[in-house]
Amino acid sequence: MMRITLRVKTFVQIIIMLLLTVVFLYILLPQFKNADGATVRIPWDEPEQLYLLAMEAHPETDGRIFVFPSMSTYGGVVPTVTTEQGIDYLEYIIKKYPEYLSERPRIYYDLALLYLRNGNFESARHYLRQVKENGLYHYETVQKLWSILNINRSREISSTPQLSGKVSVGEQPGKHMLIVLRPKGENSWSSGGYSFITRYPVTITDENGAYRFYDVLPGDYEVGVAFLPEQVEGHYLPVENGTYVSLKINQTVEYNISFVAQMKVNEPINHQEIGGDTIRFRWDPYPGADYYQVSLTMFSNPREVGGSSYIVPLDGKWTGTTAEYDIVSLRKGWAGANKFGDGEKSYLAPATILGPLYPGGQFSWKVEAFDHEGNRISSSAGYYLMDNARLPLFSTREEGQLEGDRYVLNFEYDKAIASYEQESDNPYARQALIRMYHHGLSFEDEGDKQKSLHYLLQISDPTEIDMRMIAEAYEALDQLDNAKAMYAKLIERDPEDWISLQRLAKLMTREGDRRGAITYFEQALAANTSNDSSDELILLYLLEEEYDNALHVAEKYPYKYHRENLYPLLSAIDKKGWENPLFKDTLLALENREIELAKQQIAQFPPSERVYADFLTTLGYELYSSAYDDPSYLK
Amino acid sequence: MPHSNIPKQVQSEIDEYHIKQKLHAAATSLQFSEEMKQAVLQRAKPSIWEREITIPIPALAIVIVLMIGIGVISYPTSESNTPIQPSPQKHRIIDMGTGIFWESDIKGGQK
Repeated sequence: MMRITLRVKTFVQIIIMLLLTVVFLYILLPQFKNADGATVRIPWDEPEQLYLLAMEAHPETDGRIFVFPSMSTYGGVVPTVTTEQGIDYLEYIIKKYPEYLSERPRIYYDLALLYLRNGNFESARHYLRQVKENGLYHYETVQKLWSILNINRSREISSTPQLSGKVSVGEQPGKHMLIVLRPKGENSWSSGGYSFITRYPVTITDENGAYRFYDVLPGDYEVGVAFLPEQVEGHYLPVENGTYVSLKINQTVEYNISFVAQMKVNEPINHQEIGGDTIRFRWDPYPGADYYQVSLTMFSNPREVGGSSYIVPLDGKWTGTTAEYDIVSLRKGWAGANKFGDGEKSYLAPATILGPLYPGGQFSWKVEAFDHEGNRISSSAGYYLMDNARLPLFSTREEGQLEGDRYVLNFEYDKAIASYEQESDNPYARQALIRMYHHGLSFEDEGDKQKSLHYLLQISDPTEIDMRMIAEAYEALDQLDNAKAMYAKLIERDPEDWISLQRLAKLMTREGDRRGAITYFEQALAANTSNDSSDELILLYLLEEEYDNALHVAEKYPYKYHRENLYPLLSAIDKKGWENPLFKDTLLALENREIELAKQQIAQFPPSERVYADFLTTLGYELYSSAYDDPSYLK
Repeated sequence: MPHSNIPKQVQSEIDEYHIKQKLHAAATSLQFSEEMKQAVLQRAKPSIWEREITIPIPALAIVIVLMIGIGVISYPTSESNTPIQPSPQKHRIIDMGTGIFWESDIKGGQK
């Protein structure tokens, strides 16, 4: 047998050399971080694997949060690989496997988007140029991005933008954030990666947080801002729904977006379990705050995180940094009559049945700071996306939970009703029964007011919510005198109760008492200028031939949308309108809810009297919107 | 008896040769065989590093083939290198009206 003979020393030296070679070769393998931050070494022949890893940075879904005055939206799945890592992987592929690019031409596109997110606009431009020159991918999006990165940002300061402004995050500039203009009246949002970029005017803030828009079609827009969570951590953007900018040719509008310091919550936090008789909320003081208000939130479906949720503002303006509430009172409180659907079935929300704070539930809360003029200056409802965040989340102990409550939380409403019926002496069981019977259990179910009234009248000390439900039940059962008496009681308790004032006015309208209705509608408007009584009041004044009063109400209309349509039309009708029998007949048809008759009469106005037809159509639309198509001439 | 006609010098060399022959013959039984060498080495207890090992070539070949095989099998490929598989865990952001949260943070307290 062939053998070789060598010294142990030589043998060990050879082994060590071999091991060192293996280690050396392993070290030479390309090294990257994976989604969990661990180091992984990718073999040289695996560009596809590296590409898949890079895609975990989700270049196209972006991961930005979009905030508009009317809504917020998110770029879908949040990347589990950082932008920098994604860039590293793709750059490595380009360097080492140029031949792989023919298999994956979109690598240039993905890299451009990652660099864009990263704020490295030079590199983004470089790769966009590659895509453009090779006509490789997403032509329209690439063109638009190219335009955003080049045209808007390279204009000289002296050229006049239509819209400009600055984004600030506390004292820092909000750099590299996307600014998106969404036309007023647009209800949808373009989901699916960067598709929004071709649909809306978009620009990017510079190093100073400044942005500018040029060449935008004149019109009303709401200004949205898109940012990555880490850019705004610890801050909050106070935006009011209904805020628009009106862009015109040759005029510059300025609109700044300022993230303020987010309020900090102290208690309860991080899923703390609450029991006992009281719940205490604590927060850090906020500079300039005159008072604070607390709100609770719960999901429509307590078993499904991520579905719709409801906010219930709690009573009380707190001047200190602590608020205490009686848990029993909150359980008896009112979370609003909410229903929701899951596509197949619809349900009355458990919180509507069980109250805003019920045993065995999970909740979130926020505190808002207001200045002495009542302006909201900050809130805790900011971003809780960093690891060390104090989360305003808590749960309640299950003690005190009724069997029916458990059925409600499992959406077994029939069993819940049966269980509650067996212990209807229990005030919580009775409360649940009332709410289920009163509102119905689904979208289709209008409830059984006779049964809800039966239980409501058993309450010895009804709350305002109970009294309102009693009045509503009387109304539904056509016991109008009882309903009016109950609304009157509510108004006696609170003369500013605009809902009861409005309901009373509507009942009087129903009974043909125009003068009485006008009185209560006026009081309702005085109590709350943003209620929706104005349409009915205008109709009543016109029927009573009080043109000036009608015009006055239209002018004061709380919603700009209505003011801009109803008021000019009514102004164009002089008092001679009342000599036009068709005009008055149509008003009467509207008063009597004869929608079809009103439409027929409106169609009879000759072109010379177009303003009558337009006004009546608009008023009819405002009064009975569901019976009308959207008048196309409305602004 | 030395030859009288041989010069003294030569005679002396011849005598020396004969003595060497006799000595060699006498030492034949004392020659250092392989066995003796091993015995000496064993007695000497040299350092382990200096010891010699003999490896049969077929056995060495098997070991080398095994090492290459293990290296090939453990080479990071798309099938074996699980850490670089795309992470199945997707994070979602939830807006509860009281803040913007990670879904997993909200679920953290779910009963």
